[in-house]
Amino acid sequence: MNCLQTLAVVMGKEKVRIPGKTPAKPSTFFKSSTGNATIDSSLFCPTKADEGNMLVPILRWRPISFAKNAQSETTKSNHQVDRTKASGQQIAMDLLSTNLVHQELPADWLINISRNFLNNTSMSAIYQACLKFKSKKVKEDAGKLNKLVPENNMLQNKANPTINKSTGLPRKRFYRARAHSNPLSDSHFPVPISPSHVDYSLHYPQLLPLANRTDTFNKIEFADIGCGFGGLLISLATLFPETLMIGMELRDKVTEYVKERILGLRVASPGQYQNASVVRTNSMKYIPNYFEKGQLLKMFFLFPDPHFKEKNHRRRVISPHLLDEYAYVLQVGGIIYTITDVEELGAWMKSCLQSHPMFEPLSEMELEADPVVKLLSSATEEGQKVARNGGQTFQAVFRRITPSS
Amino acid sequence: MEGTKMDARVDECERDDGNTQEDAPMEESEQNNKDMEVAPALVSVHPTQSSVAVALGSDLRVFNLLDNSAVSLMDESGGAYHNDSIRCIKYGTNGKLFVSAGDDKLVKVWSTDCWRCISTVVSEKRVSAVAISNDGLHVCFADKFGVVWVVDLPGFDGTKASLNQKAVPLLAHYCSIITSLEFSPDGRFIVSADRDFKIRVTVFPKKPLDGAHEIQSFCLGHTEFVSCLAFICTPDSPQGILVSGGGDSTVRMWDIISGSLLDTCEVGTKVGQVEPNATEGNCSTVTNICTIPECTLIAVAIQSLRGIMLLTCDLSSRTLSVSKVVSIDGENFVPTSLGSSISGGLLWMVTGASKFRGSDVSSLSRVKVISGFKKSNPNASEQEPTVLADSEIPGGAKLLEKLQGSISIDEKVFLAAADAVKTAMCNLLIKKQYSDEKREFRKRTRNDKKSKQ
Repeated sequence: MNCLQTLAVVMGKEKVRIPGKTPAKPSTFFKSSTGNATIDSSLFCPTKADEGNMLVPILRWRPISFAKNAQSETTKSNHQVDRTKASGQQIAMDLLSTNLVHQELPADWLINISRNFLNNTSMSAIYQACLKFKSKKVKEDAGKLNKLVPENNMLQNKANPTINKSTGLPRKRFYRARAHSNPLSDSHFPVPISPSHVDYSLHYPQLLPLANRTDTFNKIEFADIGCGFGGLLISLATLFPETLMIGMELRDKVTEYVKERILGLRVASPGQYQNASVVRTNSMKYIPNYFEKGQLLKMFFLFPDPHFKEKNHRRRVISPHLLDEYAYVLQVGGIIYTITDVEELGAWMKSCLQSHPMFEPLSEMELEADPVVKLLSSATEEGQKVARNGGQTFQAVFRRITPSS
Repeated sequence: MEGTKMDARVDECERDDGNTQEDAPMEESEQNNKDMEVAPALVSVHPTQSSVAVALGSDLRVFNLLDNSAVSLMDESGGAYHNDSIRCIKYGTNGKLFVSAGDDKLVKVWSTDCWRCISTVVSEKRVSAVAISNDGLHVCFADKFGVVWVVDLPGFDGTKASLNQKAVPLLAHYCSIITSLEFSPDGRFIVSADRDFKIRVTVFPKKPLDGAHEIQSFCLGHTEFVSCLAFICTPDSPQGILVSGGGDSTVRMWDIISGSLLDTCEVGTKVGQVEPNATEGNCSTVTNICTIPECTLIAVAIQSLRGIMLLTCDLSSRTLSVSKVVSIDGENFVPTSLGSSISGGLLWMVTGASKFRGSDVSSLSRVKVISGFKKSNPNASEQEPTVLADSEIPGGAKLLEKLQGSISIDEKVFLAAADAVKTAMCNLLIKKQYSDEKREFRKRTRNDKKSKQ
């Protein structure tokens, strides 16, 4: 007698003839105790109305009741696992403990099982058990099954599920955050007391390993304000390998993403990307805490939040008063780059810069000659989105000058 | 004159306008409202000590020391000069001007000769600090949102009627209450301190109405809000040495040209030695600093200290150290404001507040004076400051009557008031943490529209 015959006997229900030697579809054997489920009813998601116990065609079958108030029909030979679902581990053990490995499993069985067991560990156990089957088909089916389970990589990875295993880079979908963050609220992140308290060894461990630096060389020279997902930083890091640069971002999830991205890139391309880093901070309030007077060579403001309402204009990152602070941290001759796809904001930024006595616009020739200018619209996620939608961008690039008094 | 009618609120503003009487959940906050509407008494002394001014709530009281008489202020608008609590008063260094401003969003500039209000400026938001430029041509005031405004004064000759001047923004700290505003002794720089632990030194331009864009330096080092600023004038640095006190219970000395921290003095620990029950939590905030000219002493008023602490500044080594603590015996006197003149050699102190609950008296102020900063005897090794008795104060009983409202104050009333002042000061200086519903409510009622002018 093969196992299925045994099954029928054990059931103790009416004897079912086994049609032929090939294993029949499981559905032929199934009967619900109330008789509501028909023979043809597949195992696909019996509803609560169907109730009953679904019998799994393994030697020791376990009742899996889908209805809350199902009458339990326990026979002596099974012990009850939890009523809601039988453990996949148990099933896997069953599969292995019998002679089933030499046989075929019913074709739909695995699929049906997978629909019932969405728990990844169960599926993994069943999958592993199936792999031991001699039959190629079973293995194939199991393999297909494995792919059905979402995020099965996680089990193999064991480490961070949010990092893509093959590239070592973070997956953006786990770091999605709202586009807006209120710059007025008091966020609780650490702020260095003064520029000399900024820990360079934290940001650039390979280049500047000492925690307390007393030398004055090698300071951060590029700052990307509101760096988002870090597109510009990544592009600039290879373009200017000798320059230290930092991105500032208010949202913590996004900052985490950029951190992971830089770490991943540092591992993937040794020696590169050691000069870029990111910090979570409110750049409108705390820029003087990070940078000394005249420290920066370039500042970037790519696609800042437009804050359309007039009452929110004070939250704009470029404003006449904040430009005083930016002029303070920029060297004379340092350049500020801004770009946006919102026309009104572009006009606003341009007019703020033009009316500020410490900034003058770059000439056309200079814009052509500057390799960074081309990156403004193409390097960042936001810029690429605009390009995809065929939008227009408005840029304003100005140089910091000494005011003529 | 018309004040702006909008109900402007700022996220960081810890004082309610008192108009929120709507919902039940506001009850617990109403008590806090009342506490927070308390305005500490302020004192300011004319540079040559020809007059002393005390501001208590909306009441401005001035006493003329030269002819020993109370001064009655003249204002074109008639009625009460200020409608709401005065938050800051200051004399100009040339002695000709006096400015007062506060919660009623008005900045009034007075002439010290005739005590007439020569100019009234309307501010969009409540004013938290004022300063007069050394040449007396400009008045700067800072609002609760971090913007410092400047207005130029008419070349006054005393006869011009007070016009409504329009103020122009000079500079701004981003979204942070400016607690103190000072000009450097040589007039080149204007220094502003805010609640985000920062002190900004800006070059005061020749044409201030175009804005002060050039930042000289940032003095960063405080680990809590900066509450007060003062300058020490030294012969070898015309721009002066900046001294600041803050919520971290330290007094720090700075070089404003480079923004570097010269020295720090931990006054909080010293207070703990004097007052055994003082150091609970953050009751050692430095509330006021006053430099006493002609000697390198700095008087520091600390939140829980009944008296003042004197610090000496060693100019050659540029260090600060605690000299002594002058406590005021017999009275529970915690000064809320300090003032001194350039030549008088006296330190004026006032304690008091207005509009506090918990006592029958609606407002109270008490003035005391410390003298003895000049060495009476050239052979004496150090100064011996003493607290003057009421009868020894210049101006005597008349001054006390004018400035305090009465000559003597009942002991019990004074004690009750002193306690109230203490809690009020605590509430004022610490940023309030709102519950979520309260925060949402505040957001709903906030109105940040620009005033229509």
